[in-house]
Amino acid sequence: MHIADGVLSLPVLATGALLALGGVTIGLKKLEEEQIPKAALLSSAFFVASAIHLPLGPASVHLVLNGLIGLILGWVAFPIILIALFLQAVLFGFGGFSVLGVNTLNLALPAVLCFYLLSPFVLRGNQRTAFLYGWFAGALAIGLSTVMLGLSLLATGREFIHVVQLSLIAHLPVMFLEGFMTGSIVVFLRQVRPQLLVSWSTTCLNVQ
Amino acid sequence: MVYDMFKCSIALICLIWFPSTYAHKVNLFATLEGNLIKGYGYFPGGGRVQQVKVQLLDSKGTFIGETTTDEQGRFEYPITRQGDYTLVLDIGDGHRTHFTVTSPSSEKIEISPPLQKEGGSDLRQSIDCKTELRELLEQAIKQHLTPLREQIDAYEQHIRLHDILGGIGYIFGIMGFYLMIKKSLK
Repeated sequence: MHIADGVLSLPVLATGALLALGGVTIGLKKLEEEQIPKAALLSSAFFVASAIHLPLGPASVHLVLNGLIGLILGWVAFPIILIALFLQAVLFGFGGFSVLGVNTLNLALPAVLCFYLLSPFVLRGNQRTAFLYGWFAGALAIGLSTVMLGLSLLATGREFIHVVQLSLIAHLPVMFLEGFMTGSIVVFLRQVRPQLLVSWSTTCLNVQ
Repeated sequence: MVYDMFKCSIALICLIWFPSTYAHKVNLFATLEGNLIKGYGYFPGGGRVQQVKVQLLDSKGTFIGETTTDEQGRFEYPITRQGDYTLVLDIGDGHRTHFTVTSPSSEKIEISPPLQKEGGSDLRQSIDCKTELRELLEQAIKQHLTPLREQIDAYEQHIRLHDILGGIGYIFGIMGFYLMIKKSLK
């Protein structure tokens, strides 16, 4: 999910950086003080999750958690993910610095989309529906991120079939695992700390 | 409810104590042996890079040729000239890395000549012996150094717990700083 330095062309890097900057600005504007501890916690979770790989058959998968971040924080996902990606680049050597904008955009924009599409529903209904919505948020976020990764590579000029093979198909098991994890976490939070799941959309719809 | 907390704490414990050094990046290691550049591509923490192209560039960055890694991630490339070379491995899904191989002439092993008072053919013989000796020594030392280099390379890729903790610390630090600024601007 992290693109390394030297892979993408300059126009793609520049566009990604500009769009990510816009996203971060919106996110910071919408950041309320009470959300800051939540934001720090989720940023740390994202930071650690990408570093830990769980062996799955011949390959290994790792959690991304951008779906969960989108559900809980919305636009604040942009600054959160930017900070975590920067630290990953510095401390672990994941991704790169020139691609920071593109990587942030690829991970945070799907998070925001999940926020608008799915966050109103996670506090409604019973545990099972909450799990399903959580599952969708996780899987959709990964799916969209992979699509954006593919688009970034395509825009740089890679061959289409190659890109589809490498990025989309390879990430299908990650989508399922991430969906499962996000669903479980959402259910857990609903029981233990439902206030964490409250967002503007849930309050707007007067959810109890 | 208790069961769920138990599940989550297990997950958290796994996340923190999981002795995993898997990294989400790709790495190259290569050495120059005689006229052959030999190396392998790997994912730090496990797994070799299979069937991926490796490009060879000279010290100025000019493209010289390319080869492909085998099932063990290994590749070889014969070179005609001594010098420093850069290898580039690009998987195509966003993972890319490079590695520079330095030629042995830039790692000269100096053997200080013993005090000698010979002359003529004796001198020539001793010079031949010395050259042979130097070459033997270089080979032997390289044999011992290469596994060490591989170990160092792999060790550098290790994700250490203190890096993780440092990152988390930075995140909370940045957030706290931001909060402080926001409050003081009120």
